Amino acid sequence: MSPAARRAQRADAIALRELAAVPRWLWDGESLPVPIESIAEDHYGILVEEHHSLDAFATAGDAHVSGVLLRARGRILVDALEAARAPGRKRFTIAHELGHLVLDDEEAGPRVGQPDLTERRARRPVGACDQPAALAYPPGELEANQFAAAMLMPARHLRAAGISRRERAGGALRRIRGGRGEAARVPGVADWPNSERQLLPCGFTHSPQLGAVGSVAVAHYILYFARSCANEVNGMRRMAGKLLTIGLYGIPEGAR
Amino acid sequence: MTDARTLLSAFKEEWEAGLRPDVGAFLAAASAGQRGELAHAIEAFLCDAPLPRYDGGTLEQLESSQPVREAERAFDGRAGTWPLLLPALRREGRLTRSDAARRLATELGFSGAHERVHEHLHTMEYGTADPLRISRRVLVALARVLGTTAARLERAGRVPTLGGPTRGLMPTRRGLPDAPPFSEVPSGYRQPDSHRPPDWAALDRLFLGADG
Repeated sequence: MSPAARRAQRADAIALRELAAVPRWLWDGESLPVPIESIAEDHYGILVEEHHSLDAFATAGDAHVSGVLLRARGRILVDALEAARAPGRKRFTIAHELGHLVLDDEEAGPRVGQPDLTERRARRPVGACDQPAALAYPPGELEANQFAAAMLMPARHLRAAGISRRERAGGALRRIRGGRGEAARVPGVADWPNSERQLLPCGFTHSPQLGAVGSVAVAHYILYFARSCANEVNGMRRMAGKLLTIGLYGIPEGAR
Repeated sequence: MTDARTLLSAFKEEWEAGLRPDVGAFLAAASAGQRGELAHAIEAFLCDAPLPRYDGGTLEQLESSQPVREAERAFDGRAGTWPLLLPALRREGRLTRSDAARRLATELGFSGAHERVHEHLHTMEYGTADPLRISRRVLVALARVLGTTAARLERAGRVPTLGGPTRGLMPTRRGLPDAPPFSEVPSGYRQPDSHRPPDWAALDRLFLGADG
């Protein structure tokens, strides 16, 4: 297994463990969506605040900051405009920052993206790359994304929808693009509020039944398995990276 | 029921083997009459107990557990053991922080400012508040909300710690360059800083002191 796959697997396992530690009076472990803001507040003791602009936290090569973890103050700052436009996106940002809180606790390594990767990412045109932009992300960011995906869309719920490891990426992608019957097998997801389904602005990946956050989570899931079996699913890996890029950053396909 | 001495020996054996014995289970196995004695004996043992030889996985799990995180906040912070005590009391009462803040705001006579009280309560729970600046009135009201005494809260806030958070700001998430995620401003969206914040001076004085 590649180091990246191992890291992704570790982030998955830690997210699973963290979810299991959430007191049942906060979340019953079954119902969706996972109450991520309440978990941040009442389990981790982190205050979530919306701010108009987080650009003060941007460094060279960053045009936009979606969220910030202020560990010393126990706060997660979330971009208020994004939160207003897409609560699903806000949920993902909170889960991502919790990923940093938890994962960075567990290893002594750089907590901020490596400058050389940031610089390369800055020059890469999205959509025309030979490798998905998401894969050029600093490893710590990818891990936090993986953690967020696993928190918001626990693997158990994906399995309940029939998305198994055996099916791998192709099956998973067909399912999220599939009809009501398939998606309705995910317990509770069909009842997600519309606001949860507005993360993805284009039809390519949007699945109203599964929900936007679910789609992003599935993208991570695909990416994870694609990494595990890279030789056979190179094409799928590109597609998963693209799906992830679109899902996370709201860039409509063909807009760039 | 097993006698306290046998239970203590078993507890020590499990501890030293790195098996993370469950204190509650051991206490439950003791007779009612011996439970207090066993609790004291376990506590005395744990004060000086050697660190067991945990495997890497167990150690990682322990270090990232919520109680350890809260203990770390207490040690690093300046609010005594509030980061341990306040969340624990809330959990006992199954109170979310938001609910606790609402009740505290009402107790203090600022029911319209519960969000501000929420922020102050957060600083107390996270260990960034200065206990010496928190008014007695807040402690009395919070004690009522959490089902404890103001004296207990006061004592916990005065436990010496390392005195302040040691880690700096840490921005950790970024968007793609030149690609703001959403170009359209949703209708009804108001910039948070587009209106004057309410005057919270009177409330803030209760949490930050006169010169806060």
